[in-house]
Amino acid sequence: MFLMKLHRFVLHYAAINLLFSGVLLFGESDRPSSVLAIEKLGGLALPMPRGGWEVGFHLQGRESFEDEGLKALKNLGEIISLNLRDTKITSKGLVHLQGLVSLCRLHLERTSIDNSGLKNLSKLKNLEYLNLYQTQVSDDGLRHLSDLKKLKKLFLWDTKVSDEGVRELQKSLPQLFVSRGLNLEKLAADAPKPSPPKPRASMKWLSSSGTESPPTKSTPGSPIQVTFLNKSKQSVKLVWIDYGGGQKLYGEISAGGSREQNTYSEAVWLITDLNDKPLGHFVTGQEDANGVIPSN
Amino acid sequence: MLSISHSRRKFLQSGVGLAGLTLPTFLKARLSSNSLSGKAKSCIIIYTWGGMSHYESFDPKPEAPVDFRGEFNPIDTATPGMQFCEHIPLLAKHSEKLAVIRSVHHKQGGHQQGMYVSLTGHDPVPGIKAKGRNNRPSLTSMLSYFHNPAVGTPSAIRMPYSMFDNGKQMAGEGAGWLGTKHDPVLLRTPAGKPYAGVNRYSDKELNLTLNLTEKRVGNRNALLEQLEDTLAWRVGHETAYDQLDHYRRMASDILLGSPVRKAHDLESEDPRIRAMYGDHMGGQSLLLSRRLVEAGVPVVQAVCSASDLAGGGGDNWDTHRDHFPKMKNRLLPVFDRSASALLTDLEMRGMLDETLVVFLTDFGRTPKINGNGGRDHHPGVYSLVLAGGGIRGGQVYGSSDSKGAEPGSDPCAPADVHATVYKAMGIDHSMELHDQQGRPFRICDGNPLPLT
Repeated sequence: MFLMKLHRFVLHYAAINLLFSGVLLFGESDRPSSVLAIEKLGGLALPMPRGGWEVGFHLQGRESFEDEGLKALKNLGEIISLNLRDTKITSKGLVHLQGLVSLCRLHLERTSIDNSGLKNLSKLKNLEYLNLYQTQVSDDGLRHLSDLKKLKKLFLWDTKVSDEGVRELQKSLPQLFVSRGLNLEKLAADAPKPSPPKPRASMKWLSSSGTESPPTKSTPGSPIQVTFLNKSKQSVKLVWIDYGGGQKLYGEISAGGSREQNTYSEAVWLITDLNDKPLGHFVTGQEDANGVIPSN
Repeated sequence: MLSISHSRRKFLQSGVGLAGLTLPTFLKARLSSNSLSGKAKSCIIIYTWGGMSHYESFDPKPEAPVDFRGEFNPIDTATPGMQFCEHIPLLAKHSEKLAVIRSVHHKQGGHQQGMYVSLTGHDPVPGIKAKGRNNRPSLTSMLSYFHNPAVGTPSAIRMPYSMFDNGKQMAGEGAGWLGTKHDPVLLRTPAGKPYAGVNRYSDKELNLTLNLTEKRVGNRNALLEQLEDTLAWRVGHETAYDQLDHYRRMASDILLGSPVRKAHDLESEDPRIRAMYGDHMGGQSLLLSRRLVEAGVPVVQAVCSASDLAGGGGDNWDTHRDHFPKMKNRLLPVFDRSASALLTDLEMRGMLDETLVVFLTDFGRTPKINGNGGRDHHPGVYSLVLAGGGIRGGQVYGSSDSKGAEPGSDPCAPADVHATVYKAMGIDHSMELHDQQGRPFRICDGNPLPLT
């Protein structure tokens, strides 16, 4: 009885494991060879809800996928969506897309394709979405798209097209939404100038011979930077009071010297002489600050 | 070492074992998720921890008396008839992408309870704990359950830290009864000036800048494999052991290089784009979110706030005192810049139609300004926003009353917003799953709003 239950358990387990481990709807033996061929090339082919396939080489196939691999697409049947972002394909390879007449969505962004490649897309009458950002296309290339009557969205950020070329295309395709994206150079020029460094606040020196007593321990806070400046005539030790009240030596600062220290807000720092006699404390605030150890 | 019977029983009891599901239910879930025509493939959830005032963001009330409407003025957006607070001018320009829901409400007045209902869609039971395995799954976890990215890519990532209140970690961000496998991976954003206030980085965040060379990780893996072979033979459940090891495997896949590791390396992003998002944790987290989505992570959650609500001086949205200076000088500028950079970035890369952006917060803030120049908690009505992923932009859904105190028209709950998200992502919100005890759970109790 126990063994039977165990057996079923392990079987269910294995099945779920397969489903969970990136093998999507089918077991290894159930996937068509055309799909397996695409996976071997670093791609993924998923069935779409209403039939047809969605194919992408943009994740695992980035470094390796080339024009040669596009030949594998013709065995798959109706490809609705194809993602070639970041792959090593060239304009020449796009000749293999000519037959993909069901294609609705095509990603060619961040590849080396240029105007000559776009010629191969002119018969893809079902194309609705075309992404060409950060490619070498220019106005000449746009001309090849003027017969794509179903094209609704075209992405041209950081390409060589001009306003003129885009306007021409929109005359043939009045439904077309074109995204030109940002002009990065203008963006950099318009960026708010970094504000001049604020003069640093100064932390209050709480002398050990004074009446104000510092907190007995540090409180966890956010990272800040402080500079300790030793204006006294003797070398001093720099000690951090930890979250439990214990002391932790961080170093020494010679007379007239300074020390940059990464710390946190609401931290307590103790200054002693070289014989560990307490001289005073600082307590950090929320901002970067200076801590001046006075000459006395 | 584990004996066979001990481990089997432990398995069936723990959430990790079967991920709380039986096989037939799981298959049903996948099939129905494919049969809906949601367009969004990925989701970015932006959480403003502490409770963002609806007055000083998406639902200004210029007509209300001055001690209700506050110090700021409204500005026009790119959508005629829709106004935002003057201190989110960049988001105002994106209004044609946004669906602003102004009539959200619930009954949870505390941060833990407000966050729990906002992220899970359900009211909390008393005494819930952050790591509770009977908790409801967060929206992030539940969405990730329906997605199967490539091996080595987490299905959900959250960043940059967990939400705390007064040093205590809050419940609501994990996968609860869905099982540890669906807990979003906690990732530390590697750049950007931290929010001031208490930011609790702990050792639990996956920090990809660990000083581990490939060789060292490879050696560890080899050792681990030897150990596993031995243990698996003794325990007798090889596949079960694999499942337990899911996170360790995935962590080393990430460490060794993958689209996710490359996405995490913000140094490889164009510095002008980095500057567009802003050199602060909020901005760099949203930049990282975009990169992770591009790298194939289906769901990303970014907390845009200091992580611990303790310490009134911090950059969290819980503005009981000095509300107006904090909003104007610290909170809204970062939020405005980060979120609008994300929308610009997604749009120009052609990603916006397949990436759903969801803005969530605990609750709104009280209509009457208190004695400390602040606003207190107010779940009575507040605003949430959806963008991308097939959501129709340039629209306002529902309204709050003239004082901003209660829903005026079309009241809705956080669960309804979740249902809208599921629908946009092609998931049937009314689907039932069963946990290990066979109890049925409807994944969402709300109804989708007509926003697509």
